[in-house]
Amino acid sequence: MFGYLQPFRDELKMKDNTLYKSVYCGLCRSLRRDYGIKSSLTLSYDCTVLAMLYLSLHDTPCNVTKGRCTVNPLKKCMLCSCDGEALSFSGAVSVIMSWHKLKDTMNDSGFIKKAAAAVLRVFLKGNYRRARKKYPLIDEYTSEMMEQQNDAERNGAGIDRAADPTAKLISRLCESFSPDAAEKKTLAVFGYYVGRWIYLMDACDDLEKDIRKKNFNPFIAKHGEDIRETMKYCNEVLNMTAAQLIMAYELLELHRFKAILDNIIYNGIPMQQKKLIRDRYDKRNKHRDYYPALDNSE
Amino acid sequence: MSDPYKVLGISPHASDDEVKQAYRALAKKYHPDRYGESGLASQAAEKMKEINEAYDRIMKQRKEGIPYIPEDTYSCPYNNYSNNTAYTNNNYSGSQSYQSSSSSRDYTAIYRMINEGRLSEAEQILNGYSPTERDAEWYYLMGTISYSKGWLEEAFNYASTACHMAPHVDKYRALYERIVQQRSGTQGGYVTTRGGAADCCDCISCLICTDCLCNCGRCS
Amino acid sequence: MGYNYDDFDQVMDLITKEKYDDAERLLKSMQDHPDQASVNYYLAQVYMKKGWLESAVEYAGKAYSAEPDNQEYAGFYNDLNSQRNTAAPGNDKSDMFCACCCTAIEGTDCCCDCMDLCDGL
Repeated sequence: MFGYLQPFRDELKMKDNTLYKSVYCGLCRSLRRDYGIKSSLTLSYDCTVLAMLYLSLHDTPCNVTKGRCTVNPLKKCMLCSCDGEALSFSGAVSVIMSWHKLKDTMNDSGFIKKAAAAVLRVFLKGNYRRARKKYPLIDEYTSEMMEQQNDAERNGAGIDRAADPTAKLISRLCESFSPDAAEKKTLAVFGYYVGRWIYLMDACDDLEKDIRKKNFNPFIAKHGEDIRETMKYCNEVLNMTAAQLIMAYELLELHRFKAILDNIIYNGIPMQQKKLIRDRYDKRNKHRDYYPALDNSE
Repeated sequence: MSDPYKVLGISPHASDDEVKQAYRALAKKYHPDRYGESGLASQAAEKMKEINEAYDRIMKQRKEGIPYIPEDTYSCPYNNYSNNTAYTNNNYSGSQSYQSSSSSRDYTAIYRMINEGRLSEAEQILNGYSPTERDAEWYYLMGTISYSKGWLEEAFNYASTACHMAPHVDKYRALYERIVQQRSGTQGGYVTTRGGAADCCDCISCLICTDCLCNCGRCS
Repeated sequence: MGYNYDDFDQVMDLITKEKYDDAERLLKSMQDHPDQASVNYYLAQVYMKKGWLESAVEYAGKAYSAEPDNQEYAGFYNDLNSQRNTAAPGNDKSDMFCACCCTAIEGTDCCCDCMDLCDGL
């Protein structure tokens, strides 16, 4: 996964910052314990968010304890641990998705990236096998997603169809967090739009490179190589996805981490969009009129 | 049903207008029509039902003059107490005028004052009652006021007297039990007998303040 | 007008049963239907349920263009478009960027303890 789903830290209270880090570190520890030491290399912000979402939907006891960083034993950190599946499930998602992404990189990229991906794959094989054994469904959903995505991209799909496989994967994963039928539906819708948002953010991120290398990118079809117009369009598409995501999010009953998750949804998402769409292209091209491009009054 | 003020996202001391505003904003947000296309209309309808119930409950309580007592929060001392200058000046002339010639037991005004956060005024009036006029409800109201002020020992004493005098009345017992539960430490502080697991947020505040329970790795 | 109410009844039935792919297929097969505005409107509804927002906007737009006086179509299309611009995140004109300077929290502990968790803003 890509690390777009993050909190906007300046708006987080210190206490919530500590809690967020504790989940990240707790997930790292859980990965190492469940799937092997190397699996913590796959740790990402997105899986931390998944873990927090899972934990927030349940009342199961969850503790934050003082501990030492497993990577740097000289450093103290806070570690979140819990009864139940949240951390080991999210860890499995992390390992399995990384594994499949590496396979994708091996098929699509230039020589150096291919070689690096191949090496990493061998490195992570044992970890992947352990995760797959514990959660075979995650592996099944993920391979299905990769296949459908490759298919869609090969056939020059539109935005909706291209984003659909990733969206469906996250939807299925989120849906499994709750046994309650109504909540499952809400989680399915929420997960769908989160997956869609992540996929589209990644597509937006790769836009310039894809134009240059003539790779598939769902955003190119509308405005071709006109980056300015395409960025404006990207933002609209992302906004609409985020609006739907928020509507589903507001129906969830969260027992914990609400402040952090609220921050991610209401502050983190717009901030990431801004970073990607405004800052990067503004810095690179120094086109000040990218601001008016995002102005409603145009 | 959970705390209706929490459901609407407002303070218990919000004015009636503020309650209505909050209700309207939430009704707009969770209107099932807005959710029609996404397929979550029934979930939105459930949420709307909760919001409607919360609004109805608040308005009913206010109409009947039932005071609001927070269910799971600690009482907030000094909150509403410092406003009454008559009290801070130790000026009891107000209380004399309230010493009712008729021993009216109509506490409706007291309930209203408590709901509006005018605790010192309410207390002044109650203190004007002579010892023979102090019935169980008087003790219950004094208990409520003390609790809101943060005078928890006093609240405990008043509440237990109210329960003693009128053991059949549910709301006196409810106040008493809430206070007793807080004294047990299960909602904060040290639990002498090993009880339920701390929520991780409780744990964080525990860690920061006391460096306590959680060195063991598992504190449930 | 000559169109058959039953056609759309079947579509509604499929939508109620959450068989969105089937509903989509049925609607796509109705390209010769005289009431194209309704076909497009229903398609937009189906795409919304599926989460295919861009397609939903496209077909809502087609329905609106075909019958601009239809309040329902106009309302639906405008609602969808409003999510792309004004009240939606990512297009917030407030100067959030000024607030996000890390120097605002220099001197507090938070950024620096974290094993690289705070990527430079």
